[in-house]
Amino acid sequence: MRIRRSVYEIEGDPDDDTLTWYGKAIGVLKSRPITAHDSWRFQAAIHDFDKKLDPLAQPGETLPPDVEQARYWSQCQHGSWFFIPWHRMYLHHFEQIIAAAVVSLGGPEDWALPYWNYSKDMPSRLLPPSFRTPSGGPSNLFVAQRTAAANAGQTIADEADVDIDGCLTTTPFTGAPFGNPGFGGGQTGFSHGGMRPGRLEIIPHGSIHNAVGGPGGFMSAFNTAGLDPIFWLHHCNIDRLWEVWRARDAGNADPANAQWLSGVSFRFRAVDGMDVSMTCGQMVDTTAAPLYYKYDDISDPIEEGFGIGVGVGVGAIAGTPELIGASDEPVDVDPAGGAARCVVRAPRGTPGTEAFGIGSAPERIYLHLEHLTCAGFANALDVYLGIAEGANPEDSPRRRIARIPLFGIREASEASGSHGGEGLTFMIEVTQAFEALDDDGDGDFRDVPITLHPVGEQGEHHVRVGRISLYAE
Amino acid sequence: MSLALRIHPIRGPLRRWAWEHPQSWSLVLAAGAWAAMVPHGLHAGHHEHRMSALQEAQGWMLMVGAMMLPLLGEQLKEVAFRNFPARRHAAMALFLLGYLVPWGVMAAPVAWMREQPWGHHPVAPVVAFAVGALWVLTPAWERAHRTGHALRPLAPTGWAWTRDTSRLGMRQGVACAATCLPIMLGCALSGHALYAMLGGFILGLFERRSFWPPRRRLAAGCVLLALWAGVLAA
Repeated sequence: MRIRRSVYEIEGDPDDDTLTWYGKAIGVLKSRPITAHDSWRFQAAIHDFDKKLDPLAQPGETLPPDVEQARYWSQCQHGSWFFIPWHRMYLHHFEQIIAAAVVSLGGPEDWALPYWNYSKDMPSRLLPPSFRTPSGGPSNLFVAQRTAAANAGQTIADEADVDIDGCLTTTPFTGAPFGNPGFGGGQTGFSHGGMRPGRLEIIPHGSIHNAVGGPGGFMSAFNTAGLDPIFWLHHCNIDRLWEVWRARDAGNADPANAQWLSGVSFRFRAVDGMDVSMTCGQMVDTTAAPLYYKYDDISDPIEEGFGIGVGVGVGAIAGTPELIGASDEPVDVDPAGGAARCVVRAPRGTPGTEAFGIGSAPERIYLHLEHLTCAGFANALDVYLGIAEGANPEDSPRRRIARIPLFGIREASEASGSHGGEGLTFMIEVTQAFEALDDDGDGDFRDVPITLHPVGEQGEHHVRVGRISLYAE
Repeated sequence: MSLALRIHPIRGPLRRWAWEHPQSWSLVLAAGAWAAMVPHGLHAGHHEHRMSALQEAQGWMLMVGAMMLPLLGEQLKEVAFRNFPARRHAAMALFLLGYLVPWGVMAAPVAWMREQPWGHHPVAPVVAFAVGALWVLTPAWERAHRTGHALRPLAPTGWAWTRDTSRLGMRQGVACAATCLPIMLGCALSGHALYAMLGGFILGLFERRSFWPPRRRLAAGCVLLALWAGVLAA
């Protein structure tokens, strides 16, 4: 059984050659043509492939037949309850292919992918040293297409980017329509860039992608992410957090829904080139066939008592929440223009609307950022609640209610894409923030000011938020 | 929670069911359309009765209602929950109106086709279903299919609400008409025969419930419909 270990533990052991073998094996994969199922570019293309935007395209090169591309490429699942299991399948086959290359080079037979646990402490947020060394180390681990800060070993992520308390304290696995996004995302069909991401997919998954890649970097786009060797360690950590989530609370269970367990199978090319179909049901036990691996550390990183019952989506409430307020028109966030502000209004005087009259008090309130679109890279938005017009949001850190990484926004915005350009949508529970507003005496919930503040290194294009709305249940 | 905010109380299983299934009245409309079409469909091909252009157009719209409304449940529900509770049903109705516009525009040419001598030829539905089998395998069908499922932001109130909601319906209607047109034409050219409408409806249901766009199976289904129409023609 393979044991996946922390990359920083490996880096700290001079006798450990896991990364050396990883770099050498990548060299083997890179030497193969893209038509080979076990080549570096074929593996990256499984996540996504865009012929027009392929940075490694060679003039006149042969690509796999259309049938093969349609069957195996551009299959990554995002904004969906398939996000976590699909990436587990993807990692499994990649690990098998790398391990076979390691063995062919005379390396150990039990080679396993390491994981990058950037949430452990401040130093571990830096890109691991072996991945930022153009020469003198396992240089196949270096790519120039990252932020300059990442390759310089500087801080690329702040506390909000690597926060795992939010996802690990969220139950259930499956998100509810218009409400709790869940740990693993909402129930969807095929979802290459969908609209129901779970807490794990948003942070730390999305934030680390953009923090490493930045504008134009491999990690920032679906079609190039797999070309950066750190991608696989990042997703290994996301995969590990699934195990951590399940282990930390007996109530944290995978979906029992047959549609999730066995209703859909995803196709891959195995290490020997055979066509294999895998279901999510096969992904729930990493120590059993066909996976056979485990992590060296799935201990609970959250201090005892923290996170439980603090209103971060704990448990599910039966029933679909109701819309209680919405912005009148789209909001444009200019990356160079600072914060954008809008007011989420409740209806006034509409016959039959009782949202602010009789009725029962809501148990939870959710803020929806709907249909975020952008023509290119956009890093992240910080969302603030109840900030006065003209005020600098950074002066009111208590009013920040969420960090929204925008990984995948370009792909989700393409009208010709698999989702017809409907963009990204996020649901955030804001119950506590509303209570805090109320306590501060700012609780006029008929007009809720929302401020969107661009974070970090931005691209050139503005981000359009189609609608901001509030739901209550 | 101490917030002054109040939401709709939902008491009782029936109210809760109605709350969770606001689109259910669309199924009643569809059932009515089927009830109107079935007697006609049972006799299709057994008589030479020719309908007026207006009757043909009415038949076309009834057929669209019968076959398409049951497939729109998820979209209608999405539209409903993206609206304030007081506006849910109006929003769904507006969405449906927009959705039916492109189908309504097609009613005139369909009626004209049925007025032509070849519009009643028994081979006409065979050709339409065969074209449908080829059509689902084209990249254009795939593009239209993607558009048909895409959502857009909806303004919550005012003129913008009317515009956004009806435009979303129209957008999805255009995409849906583009993907289903040959099959629907085949059904119309068969004289709204029951086998054709049921077969087309099952294909639509299959498409809606599939994880991947089941293009080859849809093509196979169209071929089966064409073969059945061919047997009847012979």
